Amino acid sequence: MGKNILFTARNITKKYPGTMALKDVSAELFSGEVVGLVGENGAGKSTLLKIIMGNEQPTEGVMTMHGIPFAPKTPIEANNMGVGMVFQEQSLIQNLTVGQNIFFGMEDKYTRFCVLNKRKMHEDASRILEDMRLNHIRADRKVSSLEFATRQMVEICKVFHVVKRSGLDSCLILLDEPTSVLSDGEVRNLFENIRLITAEGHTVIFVSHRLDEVLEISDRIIVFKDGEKVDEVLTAEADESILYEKMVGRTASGEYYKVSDQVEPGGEVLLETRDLGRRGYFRNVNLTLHAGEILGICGVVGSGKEDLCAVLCGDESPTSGQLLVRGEGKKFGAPQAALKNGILSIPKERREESIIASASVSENIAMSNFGNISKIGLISKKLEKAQAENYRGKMHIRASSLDQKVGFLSGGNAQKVVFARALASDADILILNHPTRGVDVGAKEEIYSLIRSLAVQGKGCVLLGDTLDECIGLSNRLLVMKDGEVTRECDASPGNKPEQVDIVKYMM
Amino acid sequence: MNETSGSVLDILKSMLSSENLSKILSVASIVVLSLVFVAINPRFMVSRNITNILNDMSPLWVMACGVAFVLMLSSIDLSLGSIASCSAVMLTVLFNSIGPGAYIVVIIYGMLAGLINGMLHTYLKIPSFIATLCTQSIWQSVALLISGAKPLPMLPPVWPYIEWVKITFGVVPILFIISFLLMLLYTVIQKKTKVGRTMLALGENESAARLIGLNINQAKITAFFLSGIAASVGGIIFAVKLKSGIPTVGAQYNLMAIASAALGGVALSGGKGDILMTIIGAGLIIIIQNGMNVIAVDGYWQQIVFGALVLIAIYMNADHNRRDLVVK
Repeated sequence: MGKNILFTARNITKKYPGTMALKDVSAELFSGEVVGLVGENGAGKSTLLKIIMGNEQPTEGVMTMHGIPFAPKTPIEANNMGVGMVFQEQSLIQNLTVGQNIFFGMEDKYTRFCVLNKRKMHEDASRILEDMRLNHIRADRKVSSLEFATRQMVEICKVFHVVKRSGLDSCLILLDEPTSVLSDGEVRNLFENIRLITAEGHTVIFVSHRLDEVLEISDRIIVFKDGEKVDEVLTAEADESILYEKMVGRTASGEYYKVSDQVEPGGEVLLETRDLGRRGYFRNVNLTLHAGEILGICGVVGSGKEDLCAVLCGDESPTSGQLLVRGEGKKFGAPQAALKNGILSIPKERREESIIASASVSENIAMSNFGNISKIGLISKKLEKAQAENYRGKMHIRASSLDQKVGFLSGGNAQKVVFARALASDADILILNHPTRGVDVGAKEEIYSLIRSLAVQGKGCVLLGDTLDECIGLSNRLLVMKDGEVTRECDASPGNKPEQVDIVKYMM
Repeated sequence: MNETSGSVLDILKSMLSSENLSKILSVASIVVLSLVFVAINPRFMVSRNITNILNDMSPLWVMACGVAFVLMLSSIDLSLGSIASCSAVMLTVLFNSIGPGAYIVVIIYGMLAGLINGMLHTYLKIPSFIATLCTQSIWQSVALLISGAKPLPMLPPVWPYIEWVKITFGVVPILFIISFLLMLLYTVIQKKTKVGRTMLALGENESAARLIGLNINQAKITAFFLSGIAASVGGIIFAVKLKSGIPTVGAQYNLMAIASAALGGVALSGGKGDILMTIIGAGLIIIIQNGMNVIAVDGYWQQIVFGALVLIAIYMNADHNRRDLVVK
């Protein structure tokens, strides 16, 4: 097998408003190899795949495929150039059969006088499944009746088929976390198929959080961190600890996270869970949150930490275990009920989940507690303005006026409005879900100070950091989650902060 | 010189921003149309006709105030016309048996009808379009059943109960004052209460409103509740004005009430609107109707004009940057 260059990327940069998803990434891929991409959440792996697939366009940079310029605007254009992708979220059509999904968009061959010859389609599909040693999957079953992992295999089969069928000597297949739902046997089978198609000269990009798998299947590994390609290593020269170190990179100084302002938590237990679980998401979570404590929860996407947050703030209901607020067992039907018990979340997706874009700054600040600004049950504009003025001064919210609509504020300022609302709500248990996401550096520091001051006031915070470093830097204590379970709990008091590498081990 | 003209231009531009466009155009149309109608028939502006216009406006304005709440949630209420018809018929029938207490019974009926709409939408999770389409059909049939499918006249013995309708303050009739008071109450609910704020917030961004800790279901039900009350008040006004309970009197008012709210700047995609401004929309529609009557335009043509008017009003208020257009 020759070392023909199949695909190149030169200086690919992708900017989103407020953040750089990819910075100046260049790479070359050869025919017939498997390349692993590894990195933390948000390191830029998925963005790169989306650009190659034509789902996103790069802000800068060029790509080539088979030596000619390659700039797909849609996934179909990418398919035609011999690029196929298995998405993290499945893209099969549930109410069609396995065969119909495999031949989706290529029905012409099986159509006569506008009638689809399903039997022939299913026979051909069975043959394709057999080629991939998936004999146990019946081509005439509806996708909705299959298990999640089986669907994943069908999806992989479909993409492999599309690629083989393009007739090009070598194609590029992108696998984004294909193994996260597969059993060991299925993973074996997938790896065999990957080896088969690479032997035919096709190239595979393999993205996974499971480093052992990446080390097993790939020939080369590219490491991403914060949107940059930090290194490229031959698998033969790498092991897990080398990869961990490259992935986590430098640690910001303690000063950045205002560690000197970190306070010793008080004795009062605000929130406690006993064997809390939500079927299919997480199980047996035991945590305690004291007054003045910042409890960090680390884990990759899919570790169950987001779902735990949703349960704590009343957005979802637990299916097992107990949730205790100040020692009393509680069940929340909606976030509104959690707020009555003093629990409020600052959600991850600011635009979608936390601001009312068409309402003014002062209206947004007032929304979680109307008691502060009401007289005899009616809202007083004067009190509302005064409250907003107070928080604008304290938190340096930069808005042209308090009547400005929050939708027009920058990410950092909008987030300060959200924090002002949380302060005004009088909630003493705050669920901070990525509180600095999409916020510029200056505003980030202000938000760190704010979180510290929350702790000083005796409020308890559950924190999902935007980066692992942030989570360690801000927290008093850390819980590490993996595959829906808490794998480790450790102290993170000043001077005793764990290294990122030690935490990552329990995350992946 | 240049600077001042520049700033005047800026002010004009900001006034003409999409947000205010429909309101400004509505006010301008009211002025222009009034002048046109006066030019064609000077009797349009006599005080008798102004009182007429204000009287005709009252039921429409009341119903527009109610439906505006529902529209702000990006939901819709199609049942208010038949709730009004049913109220008119019930009032006429009940006057004979229980006297003036009928007013209260009919308003309670409006509350219940609104509550039913709201609960169908929130607890059974039926889209408001379907839920109110069904209740519309139900209340319409109830009105026809009670009345025997014919207009019921109010007979001389019950006239004392509706004597008050003739009171006017200058050119302003008392029915208009009642509408105004209801509008005031609804404005206070919208601007000054938690539930009013919740309605706007959830119309703009429901998942955020939920996570903020606002009571979503309560706000939705309240909106339909207020719409139901407004519809029954509208029905009462129809009945006392016409001295009869006509079982189809509200039918065409569904569209006209939604048009009034939209012309007054309520966005059908939700999250935007002002109860006070429904007066502009209701005023415009009644002036067009009255003017077309004064200059003798055929009744069927009038319906065509109203249909077109609703489309224009909704187009002007739509957020054209939004990809989806959802009526919940």
